[in-house]
Amino acid sequence: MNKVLIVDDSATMRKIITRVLRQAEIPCATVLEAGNGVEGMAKLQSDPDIDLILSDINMPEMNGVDFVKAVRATRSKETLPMIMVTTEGGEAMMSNALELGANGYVTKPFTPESIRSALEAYLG
Amino acid sequence: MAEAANSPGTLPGDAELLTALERAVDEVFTSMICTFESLAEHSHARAATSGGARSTFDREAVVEFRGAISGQVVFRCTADGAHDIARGLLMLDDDTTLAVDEINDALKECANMVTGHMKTRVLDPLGRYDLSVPFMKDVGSEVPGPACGALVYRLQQGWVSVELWRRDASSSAA
Repeated sequence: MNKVLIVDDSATMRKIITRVLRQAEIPCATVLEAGNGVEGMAKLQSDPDIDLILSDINMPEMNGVDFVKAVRATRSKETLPMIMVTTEGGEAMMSNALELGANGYVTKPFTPESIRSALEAYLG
Repeated sequence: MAEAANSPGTLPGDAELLTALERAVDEVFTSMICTFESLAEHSHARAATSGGARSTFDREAVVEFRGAISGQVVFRCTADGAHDIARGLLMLDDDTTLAVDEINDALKECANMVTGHMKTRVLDPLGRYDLSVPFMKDVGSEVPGPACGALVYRLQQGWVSVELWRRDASSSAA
């Protein structure tokens, strides 16, 4: 079973993603949440066994691009996949995140199927 | 926020922007809200943005867009309409009661997705545009310029008016 970290400044979106993970029958033993990249890094330090990160791009304090950069300073794409979740209007930043080491992305609005499609390669 | 590089001659008019906004609302509502009914053509819905009609709504979420065209997308809801959107996004039962913060957060996220969709389809091909972080605004507070129009929807138990307000060179001069 997997441990997933959801990083998004919207509590609503964190709840939606959590529910969609369940609906998509993605095997997640634990879902952790963080409100921005700074909180995400703290979660990662306190819980290094996280298997996958789903992160928003446009967030206060530390945005998704800087978060990818910070994570990739210590963890590779192979050992900790990062999937970006963003509104369509954030595509320029999303491209930047992919260049910096994000593994893939999901565009809001999304469906359980699109989440499953983005994650199934990374979660066993 | 940076300035856009495109020339004024290529800028979309109100009708094109509203059509893009309508498609964005349709996509977001269809995939994440579920039950909605569009009530009016653009021209008729303009009345929703004027005077007394605005006072029937009691909650507003706003996303600003800035570039060669600047303005706001405003989600103006009745209390029940805001509940409908929050429950839809969170996939909750119709009788679930939510806290104000939960409703406001859902409304902001919905406005964010819709504005992002419109930006991608209509604005991004023209140059650089930036979106603000979504925020709540006092109902009936000052608007940035003339309304392009409004799209009015009936939801499960309430209403939402999705409005486009434009602030650009031509609007400022008007």
